[in-house]
Amino acid sequence: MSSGALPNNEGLTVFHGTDIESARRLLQGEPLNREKAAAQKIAGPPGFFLAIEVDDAMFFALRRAPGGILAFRLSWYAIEQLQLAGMVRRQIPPGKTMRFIGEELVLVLEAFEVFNRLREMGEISVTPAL
Amino acid sequence: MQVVEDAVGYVRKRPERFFSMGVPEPLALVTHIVSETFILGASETCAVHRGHWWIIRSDVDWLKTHPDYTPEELFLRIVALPQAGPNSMRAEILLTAFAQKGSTFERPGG
Repeated sequence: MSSGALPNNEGLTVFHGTDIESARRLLQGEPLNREKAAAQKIAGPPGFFLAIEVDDAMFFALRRAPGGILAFRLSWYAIEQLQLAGMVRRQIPPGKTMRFIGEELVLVLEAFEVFNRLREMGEISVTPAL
Repeated sequence: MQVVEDAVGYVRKRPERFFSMGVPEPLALVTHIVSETFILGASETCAVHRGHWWIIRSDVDWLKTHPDYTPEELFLRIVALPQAGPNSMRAEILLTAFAQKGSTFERPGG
């Protein structure tokens, strides 16, 4: 059985792994910020990445260890709005040495404002995953 | 919120993520390291197999190429390798997780 949260009538739960300080700030309500995302990106295009499987999110938390993992619950309305803003769902690209088991939601920088507004509306909620 | 730090434990429990055959395999470990040396600037790297040991030497001390981590830390952390593309990582931690023993040597004066 998948270790990731399955979709239900209330939406989809996905996971974000990052350093513990960033995780705590996001949990406290810090909005997504384009400039910060661009500055912190390690490789590839900047964005905000949400893994379907918590085990994949753990890799990204450990890459910035000490890390933390957050669970984001997206309502179906939020998913619809984010898709309209450019969010895509794809298999997590394998890197040299490492393969992933699941998919991810990729929020392009242009979708950050929509994401922040949906969180303010209560269509996105954030809790610690572990 | 729980702090996650045990990178070696994470890797050790998931060999299928790092080896195409699904289990730790010495030649695959060596291949990971050798290719990493070239990505990090080596022009000449040699791998030698003697008994139970594999020896890798290179004209670049690739363990000293990271701006933020010491050579020792490379063996204990998941460290990104952006030169190899998104989601790539350095392979030293795989040696800690799966090799029975390991040693590093520096060329005198190097």
